[in-house]
Amino acid sequence: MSNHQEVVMLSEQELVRGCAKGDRALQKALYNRYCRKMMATCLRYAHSTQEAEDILQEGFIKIFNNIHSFRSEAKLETWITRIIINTALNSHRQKLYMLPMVDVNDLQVPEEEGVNLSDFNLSELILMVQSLPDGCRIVFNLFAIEGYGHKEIAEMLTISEGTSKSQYSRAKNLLRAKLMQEEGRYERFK
Amino acid sequence: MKDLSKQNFEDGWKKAFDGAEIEPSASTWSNIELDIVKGESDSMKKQVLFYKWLAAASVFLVVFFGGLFNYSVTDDKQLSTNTEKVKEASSINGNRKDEVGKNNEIVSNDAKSTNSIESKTRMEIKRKSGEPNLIIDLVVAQKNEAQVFPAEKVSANKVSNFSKPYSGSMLPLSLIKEVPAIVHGKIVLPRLVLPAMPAAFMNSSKRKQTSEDLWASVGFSAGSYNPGNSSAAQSFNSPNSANDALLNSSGYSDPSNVGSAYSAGFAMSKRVFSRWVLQSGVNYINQSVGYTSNYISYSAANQSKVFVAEYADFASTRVTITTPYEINSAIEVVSLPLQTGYLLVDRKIGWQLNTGVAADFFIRNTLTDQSGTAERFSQGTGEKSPYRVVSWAGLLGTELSYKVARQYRISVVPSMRYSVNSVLKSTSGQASNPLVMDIGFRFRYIFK
Repeated sequence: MSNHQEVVMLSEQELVRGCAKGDRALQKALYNRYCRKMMATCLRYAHSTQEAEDILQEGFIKIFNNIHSFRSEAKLETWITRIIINTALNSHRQKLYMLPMVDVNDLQVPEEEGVNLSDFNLSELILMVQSLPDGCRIVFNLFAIEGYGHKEIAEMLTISEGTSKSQYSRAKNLLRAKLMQEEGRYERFK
Repeated sequence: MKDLSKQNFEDGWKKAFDGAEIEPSASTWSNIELDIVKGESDSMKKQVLFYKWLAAASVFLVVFFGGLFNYSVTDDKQLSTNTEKVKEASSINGNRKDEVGKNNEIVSNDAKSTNSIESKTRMEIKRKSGEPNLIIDLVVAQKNEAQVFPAEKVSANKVSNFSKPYSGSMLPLSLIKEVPAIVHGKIVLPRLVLPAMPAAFMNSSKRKQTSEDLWASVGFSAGSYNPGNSSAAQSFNSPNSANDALLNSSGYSDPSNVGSAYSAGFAMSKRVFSRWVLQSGVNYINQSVGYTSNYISYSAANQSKVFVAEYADFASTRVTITTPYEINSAIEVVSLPLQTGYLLVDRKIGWQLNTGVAADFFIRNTLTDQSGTAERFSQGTGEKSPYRVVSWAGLLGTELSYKVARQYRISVVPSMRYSVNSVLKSTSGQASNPLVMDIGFRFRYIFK
């Protein structure tokens, strides 16, 4: 069995222990195991590929610096994802203070129109999310994808719960509009 | 068009991104690795700063305690000189020690101050059995001149008045023995200079005569090594890179923060003062550390060779950037140390503090690709070499020894060495001040 295969077959605990000791080969193995999933996460929070790679880089440095504090009660992937998301949030934190304080009741939400996300590939969906304004994009990711409640999001971003709801509604409307716009293009080609 | 109902809007997006994977660019890991190494280097710099302070504090303590013991030794010498003066005074005025007898024992009793400028000491001189004892009142004046007192002060057979004899710990008996000199019914007494330290300390500070004046030792040591590189990263975009992804990558080579060092050597030591030792010798030192580098060089035969940033002679070497790989760097040095040692404990068990400098003569650095793919590269001295021929290191350590036989001692030697100037030439654009902390074992032969 080659060294590469041995590294690939290592358990989470072995990887964590090796990384905590500063073993470069195991750090690389950990990165290789999770970098693609984390890159997809970073792309949802960033507005460009370059920014996503910066978040990924900073996030993994934090992971390696703090891996000794990882407790095996949690799943390693969940812990890594949380660090990556926190890194993404920190990179936008200053912008978050600039979020418009729009009350959710003031928003005019259009009637529901159905679209099917399976008509779109992953890159297209990521581009749609990336096109959202910073505040909307972050709240959308936290609420719709990560599954946090508005109260938790408000605490995480130090904004009001109402602002979180309003940002999400705005994101939802913008995404629906984009989906319909894109689907309209598809319809024309059909 | 299928419906995406309001309640499953979130579910739809969640499902769309569930398990999504996108490959990041190849340079991301290189940048992460570089940042980790830089972080480790910064952390090590803080540790080095701590050890610098520790070294400074140790030197201060050595000097402080050395000075304290030296003061104690000087005091002893001064007392010996005063005793000599007493002897001289005794011989000038006619020594009547015969009256007292060589085998007589002198016991001093009760000293009390009569006024601010003189103190009175009563001494009982025990004579041989059957002979009457002598009682002497000695007056110690605070003047430099010898004092003469009437012989009436000397009387016999009044022992019973003094029931509490002098404790030997308060005034050295050897000193008192030399004091009385009776000339024509008068006692001539020079000024006694009382020591600044309690006599108890003086007694303990008496040096035990030792025959260990010259010794030779052989030993070896092993420990941790930090190359102390200030910056090994080079901004270098390779025009030769075959891999497009690496074309715009920065070249770098960073040593890990901790390697290992071992040394073996021979030393000669000479006691120059009662507790001071001068020692020198010769040591072979091997310091190795792992590198992560993405440089690689090519020989004329197009064979790849390992390469690191320190050898940044890009003009004359075909260097390109490759994926990062691990290198072992082994630096070999011959060191000539010169150290002073202070013997804190000089008995069967010895404890010595050492400090000094060493001239380190660079031999070579051998770089080995740990995967065995690229050829080994060896860098010696010379005009094109980035290494100085000689660099200087500060030494600090201690030595705990045990005398196993009349002429042999074995010892444990924890020590630290720090290169005070960079082992790399300034023209290399790099700096490296290695720090080695090791523990050694020595076998000592004592010349008789």
